[in-house]
Amino acid sequence: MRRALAIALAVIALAGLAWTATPIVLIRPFGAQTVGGLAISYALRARAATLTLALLVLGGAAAVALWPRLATWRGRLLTGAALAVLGLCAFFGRSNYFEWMFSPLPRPEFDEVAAADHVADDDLVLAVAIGDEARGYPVRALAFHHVVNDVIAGLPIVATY
Amino acid sequence: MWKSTVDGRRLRFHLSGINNQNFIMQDEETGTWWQQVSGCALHGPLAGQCLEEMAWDEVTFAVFQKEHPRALVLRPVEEAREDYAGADWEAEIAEYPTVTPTAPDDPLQPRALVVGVALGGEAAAYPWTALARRGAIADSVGGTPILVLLHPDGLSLRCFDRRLDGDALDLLIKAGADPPAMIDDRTGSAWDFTGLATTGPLAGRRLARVTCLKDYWFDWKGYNRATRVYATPAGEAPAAEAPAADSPVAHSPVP
Repeated sequence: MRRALAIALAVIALAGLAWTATPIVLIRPFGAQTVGGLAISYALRARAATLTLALLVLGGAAAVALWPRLATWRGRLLTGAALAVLGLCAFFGRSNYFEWMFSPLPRPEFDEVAAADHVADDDLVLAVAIGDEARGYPVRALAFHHVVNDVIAGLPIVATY
Repeated sequence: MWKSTVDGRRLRFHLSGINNQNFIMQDEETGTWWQQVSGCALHGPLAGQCLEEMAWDEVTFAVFQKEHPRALVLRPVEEAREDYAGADWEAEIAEYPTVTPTAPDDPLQPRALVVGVALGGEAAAYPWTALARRGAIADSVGGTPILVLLHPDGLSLRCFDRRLDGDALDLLIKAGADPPAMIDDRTGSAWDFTGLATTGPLAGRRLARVTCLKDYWFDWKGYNRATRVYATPAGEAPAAEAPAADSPVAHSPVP
């Protein structure tokens, strides 16, 4: 029984790890992506929050059943490590870790053009005009944020770079 | 630059991945993955839909400020300012590696800058070096006569539909004009950088804008597989210019 529980816990932890690490590897920056790789990444990421939580619960149940049967520190350490892996997977499954590297701007703020002394005359801006309203997004800022959600003259837009 | 409403619902976008050095965006509302460069949904509940493109252009702050004196400008996020791209960011990015395959007969280097225009099922790429040499390139894409126009500042870019009342105009850069101006071959009217005729018989008329994208060749080619590359017609002078009637100063080629 102890052996069966230990194997179950190991399999659950490895499944969580594979589920979490695969999209991280497939859609990493400076990697070459394929159509199939993207599809797999989406399928894994879209279900990651639910699946990693289920694996954590399953793994936890296996660990609880296993713990009293463990005689060695090595066994307890491995069980603890498996739970830590599952906990991390559940955390990653609920986080947009991609935005730890890149920082989009969901709530942008603005200055009047005359007061925008942080922009040099020869800095490039992405310019949008709708009716009487115009917006300038300096490229040097957009090259950092990449995505800015905004509303111009009542029209929701997304500026991308 | 996209309108972010789909089926009457406003979407708020985040970043969720990279597809061959172009970002994948994810919307908060449905979790759909969108390709940044195409505005089209790859995976998720809205897969197959595309965001509607906005008219926009890339110009220097000086040009922007002059054209829109009451505009708003994105305020830098204080905590992030140190991480913003430096003034020489273009040169830095040019050193980044690319991951997409390059054909041996590829006419351009992967990180060569091009101006991309996609219209009516056709895509064309205009090498930045050719544009910088000529100041303006007249062409036709997908049946639409277009003009790719570079401001004398060498940075501000705009593209126009050259048709007016159904006929295509030929527009020539007026040498040395400040503010920059073009003259059309049909009426001799002068046109400014916004595409507005400022003097002459067509004064007050305006050319429609065409969306064009300054992009790296590898990226443009990746999303416009059948794109052609504009080649300077053989034997043509490097810069087409109208006679400088009121200015002896020749239009100097942009570096």
